[in-house]
Amino acid sequence: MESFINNEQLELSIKKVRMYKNALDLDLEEIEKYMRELLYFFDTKNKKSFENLNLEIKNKNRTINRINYGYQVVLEKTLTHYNDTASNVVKSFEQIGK
Amino acid sequence: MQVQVSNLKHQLTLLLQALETYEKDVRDLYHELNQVESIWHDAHSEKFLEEIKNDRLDVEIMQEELKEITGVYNYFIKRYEEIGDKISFDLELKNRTTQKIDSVLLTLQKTIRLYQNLDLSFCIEEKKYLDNEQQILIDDFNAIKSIKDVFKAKIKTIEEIEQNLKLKLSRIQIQYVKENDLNDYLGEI
Repeated sequence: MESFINNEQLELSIKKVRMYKNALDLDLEEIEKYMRELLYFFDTKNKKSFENLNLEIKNKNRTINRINYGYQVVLEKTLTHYNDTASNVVKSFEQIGK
Repeated sequence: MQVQVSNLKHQLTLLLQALETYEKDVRDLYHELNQVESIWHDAHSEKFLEEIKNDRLDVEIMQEELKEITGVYNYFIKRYEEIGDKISFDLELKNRTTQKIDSVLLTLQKTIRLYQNLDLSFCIEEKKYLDNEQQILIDDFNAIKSIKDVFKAKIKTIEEIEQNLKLKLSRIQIQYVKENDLNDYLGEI
């Protein structure tokens, strides 16, 4: 299998992924906040069911936050891994040259 | 129970706006992640991109779930709006309140009947006055009866709304999202 990486492009992508990931964290926080605040304005028989849904969405948001963070980690580690490999190859050639 | 319709409406508008922003940011994130295909390629990247597709589906499902929840709120607000803006009532007092109104109606009915049974043939002037008084009582009786009918109809509407809400809420199932093991995309090729 052909393996390749474009370091510069990947670095740029990591920055963008980090930026969107942070934006999504804030979006999910906002969504949770408004869902929580809706509960302040009513108290009826079904309130508990709405509370339970909020809790389930909150938990799901936490998982999605971690998944989004995972993308960033994978890309960063991949870049580091390829950079390290390239640097080791250079060192090896230097050793051979000595 | 209590419901503040205007405040709920305002809060739901904010939630819907936040959901729109979220959808836009999700699109941007996944667009960027899909771009990775052209800049990183090896055995791990294939797995990674495959997982991204699955995650995207999970996020779409969550967006649908959130839309279902906002849909229920929308129904909730629209139906309670038919009743009023600020609704507050202890539903446990429903029967006692109806009984109280009934007892007032009964008292009025008895008094009206007393008026009707009076022999006023000997006092024409007083009869006019008493007939007027009786008419006031009849009007009051009808007004209170109509308040009772409105009250019962509103309680019936509240019960119907809550029953429908229960049904709609029971249909919403929040699906579990599986977390990926990052090690699948890391390490030696």
